[in-house]
Amino acid sequence: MIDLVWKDFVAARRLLWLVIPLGGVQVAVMSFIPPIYVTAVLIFSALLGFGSIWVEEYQGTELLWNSLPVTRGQFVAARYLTTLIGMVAGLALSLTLAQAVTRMASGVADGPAAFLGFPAHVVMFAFLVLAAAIYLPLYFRFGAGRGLMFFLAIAMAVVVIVSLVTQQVLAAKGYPSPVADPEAWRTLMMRMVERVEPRLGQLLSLVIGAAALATGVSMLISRRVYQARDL
Amino acid sequence: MSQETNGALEVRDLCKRYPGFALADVSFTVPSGYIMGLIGPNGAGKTTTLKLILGLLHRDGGMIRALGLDPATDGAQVRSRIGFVHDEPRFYRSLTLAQNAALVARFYPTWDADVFRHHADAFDLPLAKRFGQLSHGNKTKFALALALSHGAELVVLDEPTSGLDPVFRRDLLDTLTELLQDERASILFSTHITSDLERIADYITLIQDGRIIFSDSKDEILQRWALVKGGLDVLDLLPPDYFRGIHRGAHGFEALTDDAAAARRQLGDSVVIEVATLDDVVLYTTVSESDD
Repeated sequence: MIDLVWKDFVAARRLLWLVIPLGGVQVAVMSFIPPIYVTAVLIFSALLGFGSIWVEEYQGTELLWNSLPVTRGQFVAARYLTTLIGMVAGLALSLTLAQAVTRMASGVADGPAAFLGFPAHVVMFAFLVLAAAIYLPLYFRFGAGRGLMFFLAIAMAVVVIVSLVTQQVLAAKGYPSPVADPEAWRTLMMRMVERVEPRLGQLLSLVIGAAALATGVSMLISRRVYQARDL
Repeated sequence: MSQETNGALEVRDLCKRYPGFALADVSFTVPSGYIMGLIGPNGAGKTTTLKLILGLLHRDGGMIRALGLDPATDGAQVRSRIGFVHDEPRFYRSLTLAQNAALVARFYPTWDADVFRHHADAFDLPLAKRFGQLSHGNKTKFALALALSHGAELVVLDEPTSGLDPVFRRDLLDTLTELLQDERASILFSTHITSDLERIADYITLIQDGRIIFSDSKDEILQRWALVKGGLDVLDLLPPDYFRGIHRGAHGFEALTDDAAAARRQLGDSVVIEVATLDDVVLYTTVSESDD
């Protein structure tokens, strides 16, 4: 299986030479604008995590690797491992860069905002892992391109439904709307952060546990789906 | 061919259904140490059959035993002992041949770097060149060099000679013949260039529309099948299914028979009977009747 991970790394080398410097600069610059930094880190880490899938798709080499002495289960496990390694590398690099840049600029060790700290990166990791847990079974069933289309459709549906339901629940309970009353919304969010902060460790453990569970279930589904697929 | 043959590859009643196409009851055996040519027109089911043997497709029925193993359940084990060349070899385009070979080599415990270098030299492969910069012929040569470098007991080649120049085709056929000299490997070779098979194949299997037309030794086929030429009056006296394929001209006909001896006996001097080439056999069996 390690050989499959290695071939992904070798195949994606050129992509890495392009993505790491450009993405690194982007992340470093954005660490001064924390909300946008989060978006930059997610994109950067997703590129490193999912890049090898796109390299494989572009080169059309999936059939080659499956014609070698490799089981479908090994192929699936290696794909998950490569994706996780890429995402962890992206997040670790971003965290290091953000810390270094903000330390140099302001002398503040942990940056100007909580967005740049370790807990925020753990949450981002969990978010990316959840995305991978949804996307990878779709990739193994439909291929990279069609899989991405289905993933985007699912992601958009989830975002729309969750935001609408949340808004309705908050409105029904008499909470302020962020559009109508931004100041009241900000106060509400601050109160929420104050309540969550003491239990941050527990919450992060829960998030990581949920991500691990999602990955396990996703891997089982991917394995079954890929084993049944004709190549 | 005997059904009891304990071959390197045995395929029995193999079925695979797709919308609009089905591979139905495909059976043949490749005996150890021999070359079998799998011929047939485009879309006949050759690539599907080879992919089923490699365990890349799931069969809907039948049985495959490759080197005594079932590719459906022991796919990785089977593939570790098979050398393959797909009809369109795909490797990483941005990597050199040496880099691609190094990646593939990691998957085979029996990989022999000296053998690979030997084949690379023999095929005149530019190992420092990127795969994406190669011609189709060189891509096939590279895939073949890889397939022959890990001591494969069964070599499966899907249209390896298409797109190759005649000189390399001859070299390739010589290499395959050499490979068999110590009876280490058996070869299943799909092609539509029948002259290649006439040179090296021991057995021929003709597949058309997903069905096996025949699977027999080449000598038997060339002995049994014959081209019959005669006047249209002779044709009128024979039952419509007497020949396997007929080409009618303005004054005469050419037809293929799968029983040359019977045709000689029954038709005597009223017709001319010639030895059929594999090309004739494929042409007449795939186009059953035609007029000028």
